[in-house]
Amino acid sequence: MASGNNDKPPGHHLRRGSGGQERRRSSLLLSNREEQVAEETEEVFRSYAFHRYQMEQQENAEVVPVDPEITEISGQLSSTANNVGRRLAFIGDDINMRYDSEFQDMLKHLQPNMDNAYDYFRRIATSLFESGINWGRVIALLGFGYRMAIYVYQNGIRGFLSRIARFVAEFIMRNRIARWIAQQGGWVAALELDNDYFKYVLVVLAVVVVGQFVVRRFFSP
Amino acid sequence: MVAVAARIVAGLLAVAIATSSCFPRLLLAPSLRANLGSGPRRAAKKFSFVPFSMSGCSYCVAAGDGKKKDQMAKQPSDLNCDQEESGSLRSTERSARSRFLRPGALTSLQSQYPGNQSGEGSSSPSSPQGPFVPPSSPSPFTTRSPLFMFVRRSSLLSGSSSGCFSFDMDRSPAPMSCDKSTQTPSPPCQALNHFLSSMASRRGLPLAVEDMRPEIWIARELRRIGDEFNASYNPRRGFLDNNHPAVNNHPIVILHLLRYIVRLIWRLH
Repeated sequence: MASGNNDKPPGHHLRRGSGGQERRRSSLLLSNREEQVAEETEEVFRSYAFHRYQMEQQENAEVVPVDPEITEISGQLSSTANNVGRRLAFIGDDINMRYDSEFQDMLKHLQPNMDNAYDYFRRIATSLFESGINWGRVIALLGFGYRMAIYVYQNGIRGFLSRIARFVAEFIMRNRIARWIAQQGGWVAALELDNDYFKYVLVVLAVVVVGQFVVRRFFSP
Repeated sequence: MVAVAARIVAGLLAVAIATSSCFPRLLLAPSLRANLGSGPRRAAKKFSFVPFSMSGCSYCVAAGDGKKKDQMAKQPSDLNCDQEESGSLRSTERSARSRFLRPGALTSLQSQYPGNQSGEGSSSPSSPQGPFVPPSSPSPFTTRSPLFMFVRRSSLLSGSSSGCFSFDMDRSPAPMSCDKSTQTPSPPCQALNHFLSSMASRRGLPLAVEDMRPEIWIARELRRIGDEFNASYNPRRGFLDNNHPAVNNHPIVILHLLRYIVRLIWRLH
């Protein structure tokens, strides 16, 4: 659990016989990736917020407040971060549908504002990842950050989204989460996240249809 | 002399009829013994034949008496519970009780026909019994064995049964009207509850302090949400696009699915 779905660092398959030079190279590669992850995080979060906002507006435009800070994001994103953000938003929509009321309750309980938001966010994120890291927790953190930004915006505070994007990036960089994401292959690895159960259901349906066809075609009188 | 001979012949006939009518019980005994371990429901099913097999047997009265004796041992305050039964049955039962209270009268008859004893002891065939011991009845099981909780409450064995032998529910040590909500738990149960509550309070003490801080509670909720979510989403391992390597990761799931599919197709066929 602590390291999620794949604990192995990218260079784990390298032979030991090749000495410390290759180990040093792989750790250098990892640290480069870590830095890249840290740099991409802010952009990924902004992309995530943008796509979530778009989805929510499509679902019920009356409830979602018009936040120009979010709508302006679309032109500022690189393609990779945009794709990752869209993918995470798509997955996060599932979380949102299931847990939106809980997020609202949490925020009502917390009452964040400009002064205490980062402090709260840092404490929550630290506690969230203290027993391990996985993609589910990362997505839950992004979802909560987005909800927090919307909540603060609804309370009349402008410019909070960019601040919280910086909070997320800072937290991910300072803690070991950036390293973990780098070990998974970077933010791009999030594009590979898939719902296994959905696939199983699809496969089962396909097999049932084929089986029924075979039975009717070859075994029925 | 002729009258005496006729009485002897009539007695022998009666005994023969009794033996033959008790024969099903002899067959029933091992089957019941085998079913005692297989769950109360099946045991109840088998056991429901007992009144029918006993109905033609004169010794079924003795079975009722044995049951009564057992209840005398267990529930002395419940001795008058037979007053609702019919008069004829009561009289035969009383006479049968007198047989065992005064063992001299029927000792020879009992020792002559041990098959009847084993037939009457069909519910507890394994219990060793001497000739003076009253024939065992299903009542020791109905009163002692938890397996017969369902037998006692079975409608098949209620007082409406046509046989002379019946498991009356009101004689049961566990009455139907038992309401657990109004009952005081047993001392071990109370001790266990106390222990659990103290453990919960001790464990919850640091949490209770921390729970005052909303961010900890929120983090816990987020962790739960994230973990639940992580359980359903996994990195793509080429389930459809890479020669099915995921099949190797989830062979049991795939096997289960295949089994269900085959069964479904089989049913459709």
